[in-house]
Amino acid sequence: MKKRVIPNDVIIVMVVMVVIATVAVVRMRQKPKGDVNPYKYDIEQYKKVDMALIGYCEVAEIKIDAELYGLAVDDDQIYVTGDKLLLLFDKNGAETKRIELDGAAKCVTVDADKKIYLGMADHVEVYSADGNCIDRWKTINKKSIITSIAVSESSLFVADAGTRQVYRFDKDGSLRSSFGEKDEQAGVPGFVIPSPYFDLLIDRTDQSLWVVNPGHRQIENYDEDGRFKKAWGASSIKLLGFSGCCNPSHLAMMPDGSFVTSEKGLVRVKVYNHDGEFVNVVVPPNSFDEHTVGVDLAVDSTGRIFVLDSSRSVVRVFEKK
Amino acid sequence: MMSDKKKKLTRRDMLRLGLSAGAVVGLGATVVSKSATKTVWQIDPDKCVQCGKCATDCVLELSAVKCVHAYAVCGYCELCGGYHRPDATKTDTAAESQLCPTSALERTFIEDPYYQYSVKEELCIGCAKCVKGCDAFGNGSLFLQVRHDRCVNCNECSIARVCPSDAFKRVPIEEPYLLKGKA
Ligand code: SF4
Ligand code: SF4
Ligand code: SF4
Repeated sequence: MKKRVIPNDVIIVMVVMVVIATVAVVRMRQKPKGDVNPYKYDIEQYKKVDMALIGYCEVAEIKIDAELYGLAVDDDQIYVTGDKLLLLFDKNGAETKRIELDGAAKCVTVDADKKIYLGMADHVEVYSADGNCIDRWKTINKKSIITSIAVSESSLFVADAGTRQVYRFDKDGSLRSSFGEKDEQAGVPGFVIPSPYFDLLIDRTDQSLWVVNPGHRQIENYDEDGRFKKAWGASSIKLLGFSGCCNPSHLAMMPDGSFVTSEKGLVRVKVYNHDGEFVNVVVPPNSFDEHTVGVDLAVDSTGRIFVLDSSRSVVRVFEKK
Repeated sequence: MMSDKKKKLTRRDMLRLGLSAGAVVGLGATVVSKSATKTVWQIDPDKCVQCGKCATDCVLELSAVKCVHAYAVCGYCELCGGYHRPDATKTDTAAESQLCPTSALERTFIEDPYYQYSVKEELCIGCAKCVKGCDAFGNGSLFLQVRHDRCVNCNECSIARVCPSDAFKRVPIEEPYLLKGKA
């Protein structure tokens, strides 16, 4: 039988067809491509803030060569804690004292007698204004992660993210009480602390206690015995509320009783009035580096807002426009 | 009999990544079959900018890149930046509240108000939306990894070619996963 010979040009056509078919199949299996990736998640849009809503301008900054954690101000000094460091500055930003610590102080507060209280990981240390350690209180709990402290005339309050409790101490270091347990009947939601940010302050107008409940995106008011009074705050990516899983991360109070808040994630600093109504923006998200966290706040008696920018290792100072 | 290499990977991955037992068994089998190649592709989670290309540029129809969850870092939040859309008004499981385009992230109630989030790998396309959301609004416990029970270990990874942040690299087959903050 005569063997049929396939002409070369037919073979070439067949090869081309196979190649075209293969490319077509591969193309069909391919996922969407092009300039616009359908899965791109744009979070930049949430960082935009209407300039008209920004009520403050930056007037100064104090550059500090250290990893920074906590911030407090009084009438004539600025107190900053860093890794194993407590630094004091005058109101012009000149360093006046540098005190070496045994560990990291995540938060700091100062009383009317200029005693400096530091929140170490699981205990409080007390320093005199000239930098001498005058007391080291007992460890609260092995699990403690102290994130905030505030001092009144007679008591010191400690926010502990590790045990999710607020502790009240006498100023000699004796523990008086603690609270934070969820109590549905009393309308107390309990503190929900998904990450180590748990702030509190003493109200400048009535000496009551305000505690951030970050997992509920609200700020709760208690009397000094830990009885719940009221709360404000809402969950929202929009400026009116607090974004993400757990915010605000930090809290401060203006001389007139307005609140200053800072958030992590979508990092922004805002002012709310004493009833919790949004007033304006101090620092918009685009003014922070990406992944900035731990923006501690303090306000002096003239209403200047001090913002600890841990990413840039600076204390930034803002004044009303 | 399992090789020592495989046993080591199985335990480590179980502990570090919280992967399901089945997934880890699959991973081990693949690692053994690839043992001649010595290195495999992996994503450095600290470099990844969550651009979405891991979903679109793998040679496989369903990307070999998956989201993995470091449970130890998770806050078990009620409002999860990886699970919920940023503008979600409710913290529920409704489709319109979810960020994941394929509902691959599963939310399970633990105790009020804590929830566990786990990845259904068969649905995950590696788009990184949840990773970006968790990074931006949560604790950053979600991240992308090339899963070696699926990856065919191309000579030139087609995602690596287009990755805008140079996050793909070759890693030793004995240590095929890169943890966030530890790469
Ligand atoms: S391509 Fe690169 S940057 Fe984009 S999601 Fe994948 S690893 Fe991340
Ligand atoms: S959002 Fe994307 S990466 Fe995350 S689980 Fe869903 S499909 Fe996977
Ligand atoms: S090596 Fe190949 S199969 Fe693996 S992730 Fe890259 S493109 Fe996908």
